Amino acid sequence: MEIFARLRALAAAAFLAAACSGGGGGSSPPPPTTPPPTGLFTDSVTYSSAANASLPTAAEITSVTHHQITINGTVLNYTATVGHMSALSASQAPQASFFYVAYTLDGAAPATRPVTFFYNGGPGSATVWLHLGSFGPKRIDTGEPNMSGVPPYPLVDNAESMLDISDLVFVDAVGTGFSQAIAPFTNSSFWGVDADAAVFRDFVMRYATVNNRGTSPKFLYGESYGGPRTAVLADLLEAAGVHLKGVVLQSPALNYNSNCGILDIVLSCTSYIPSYGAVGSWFGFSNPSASVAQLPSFMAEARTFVDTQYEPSIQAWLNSGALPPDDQITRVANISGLGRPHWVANPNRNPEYYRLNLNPGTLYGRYDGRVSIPNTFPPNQAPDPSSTLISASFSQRLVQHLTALGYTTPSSYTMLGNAIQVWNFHHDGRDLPDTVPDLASAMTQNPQLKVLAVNGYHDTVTPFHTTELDLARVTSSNVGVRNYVGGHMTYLENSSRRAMKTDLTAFYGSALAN
Amino acid sequence: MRIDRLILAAALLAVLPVVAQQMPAPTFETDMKDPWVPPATRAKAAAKPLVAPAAGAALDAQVEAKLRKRFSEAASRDGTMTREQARAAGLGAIAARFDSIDRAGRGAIRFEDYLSYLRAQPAR
Repeated sequence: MEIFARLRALAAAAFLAAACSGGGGGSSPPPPTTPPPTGLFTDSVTYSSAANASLPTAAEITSVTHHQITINGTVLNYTATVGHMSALSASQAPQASFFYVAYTLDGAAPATRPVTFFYNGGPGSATVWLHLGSFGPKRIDTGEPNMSGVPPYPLVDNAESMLDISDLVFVDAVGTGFSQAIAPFTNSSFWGVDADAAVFRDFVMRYATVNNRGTSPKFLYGESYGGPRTAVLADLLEAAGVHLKGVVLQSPALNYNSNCGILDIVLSCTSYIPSYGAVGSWFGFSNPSASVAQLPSFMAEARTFVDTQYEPSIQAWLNSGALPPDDQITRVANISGLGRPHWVANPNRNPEYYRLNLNPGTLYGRYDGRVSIPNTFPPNQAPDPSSTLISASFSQRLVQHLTALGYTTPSSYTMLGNAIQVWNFHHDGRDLPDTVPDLASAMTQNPQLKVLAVNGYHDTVTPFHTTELDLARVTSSNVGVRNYVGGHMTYLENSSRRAMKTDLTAFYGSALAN
Repeated sequence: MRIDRLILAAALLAVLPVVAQQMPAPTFETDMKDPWVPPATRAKAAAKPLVAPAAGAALDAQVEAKLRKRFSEAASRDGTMTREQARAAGLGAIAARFDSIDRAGRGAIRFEDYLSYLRAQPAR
C-alpha cells in the first residue's frame, strides 16, 4: 500500500483567508499553511467535544492512501481520504471543521459517479457505526446476534461494500469524532435540529466544491437521529439548489412525537407490537413463534391486528382507561410472548418494560432484541447488551483503521458526546421534531427524489412499523420501505447486509435512471 | 446506567495497550440511548396536547407553509424576490430556475409564482 499525505489545498487556505479578510462576518484568522506532511500524517490539533469548545482556526488537511477491494469478483482501485474540511457560511466564514473519511473510486468521471454522505445519529454519536459496520470497504465482523467470537471482533474486507455503486463519505457531526466548531462558534452552536442540519448542508456543499463534485449524483444515508437529520438536510439542500437523487433512512426516528419509547406517558405503543412479536418469536415465546422464513407473513398479520383493532382500543384506553376487549389482550400476549397479566395491568406496554419482563432473569437488547444476557442488574440500570457487547470493538478498530489510513492524532475520538443532554429538539414550532414535512418539502421541491427506509424487525428503539406509519403520511410512489432480520443496525446481520446491498443497488439504479 | 459505563471502561482498558502508542482510546461520554430526549424536554412535550400527524392535504399545506416562510424571509417587504435576493439568501434552487419561475418576465417573483412552478412539476 502506497501511503502519502498531502495538504488538501493551499488554494483552499488562501480562499478562506480571502473570505475572512473580506469582512463577511468571519472573525477567525486565516488558517495557517501547514507544510505537506510525509508518510503518516499526525494531526497535532487537539479536538474537543465539549459544548463550549471552539477551534481558533482550521486547516483542511487530509491523509490520502490508495487501496484495492474486490466486489462481486471485480477488483476496484480506490482512494481513502481522511481529515478535515470546513463548512462555510453563506458569507464564506468558517463555521465548523468536519472530520470525514472518504472512499472514492479511482478514475471515475465526477459527473456520473454518485457520492453518498453517511452519518449516524444520537444526536451526539460519531459516524463510527455506519463507517465500520455497514457498507464501507472494511467492516467489523461482530457475529451479531450471537457474538460468540472474542472481542475485539475482526476488521475484514467488506464484500458488500457500496463502493461499486457510489463514492462513500463518512462524516462526523460537530462535537463527535474529531469534528469541532470554529470560532466564533462553539460546538453547541450546532447542537439543535435546525443548526445541525444547516451546518451539514454547508459541509456537503463545501465537499462538492472542493472535490469538483457539483454535478455528481448525490445521496444521503442517515441512521437513527440521522433520519430526521436527513429529512431536514434534504429540504435545506434542495432549497440551496443542491439536488439529491436519493436518501436512505436507516432505522430513522422521523417523528419524535410518534415514538412511545420517547413519550410513553402519552403515546400509543402499538406500533412497537410487531417488533415485540419478532423478538418473542426469536426466543420461542410468541404463540405461535414464527421462524425467520415465516417472519414477513407473521409481521403482516401483526401489523393488520395492530392497525385495525388494537390501536383504536389503545386510543380508547388512553382517553378513558377502558381496557381493550379480552380477545385482543390474548392476541397481543400471543404475538409478543409477554403474558396476559402484563397486558391486563397495562395494555400499552413500552419497549423498556418488554425487554425487562419478557423472561425474568434475562435482559434483552434495545437496539437488537435478539441479543440477550443474564439480568443481574439493579432496576433502572439495565444496559443494552446489543450495544455494550460491540462498542469496545468499534472504538479499538476505528483507531487502528484510521492509523492504517495514515491519520493519527493525540486527540481522543468521541464515539458518543454529551450533545444529546443539551440538544435543541425544537423544530417547526414543536418541542420535539416531526421531520416528515421536511422530507415531503424536499420531495415537493424535487419530485424525482427517491426515498428508501431500511429497518430491522428486531429493533425496539425505532420500530419498523412506526417508520412505516410515519412514511405512509407521504403519498408518493418514490417512497419505499424494506425490513430485514436484525436490529437497529441491520447491516451487522450478515444475511441482512447481503439483502440490503441487493436492495440498495436496485434503489440507486432506479434513482439514477431519473 | 453506571454499570454500562463500567463495562465499557473495562473493555477499553483491556484494549488500550495495543493502541496507546499512536492514538488515545476513543471516549464514550454518555450511554447509547437514542432516540432519547432529556427529562425536562420530555415532560414539556408530554404536557402539551397531542397533535395528529399531518398527512395528505394537511401535510401538503404544512409543506406549503414551510416553503412560504422561507420565501418570505428572503423577499422584499412587498413579497417580491429578485434573482439576486434569492442568491443572497442561499436559495440556489430558485436562483437557478428564476427565468422559469418568472413566467411574466418581470424580474421579480412572488411566492405564488414559485408555487405554480412547483405544482407544474410532475407530482412527487
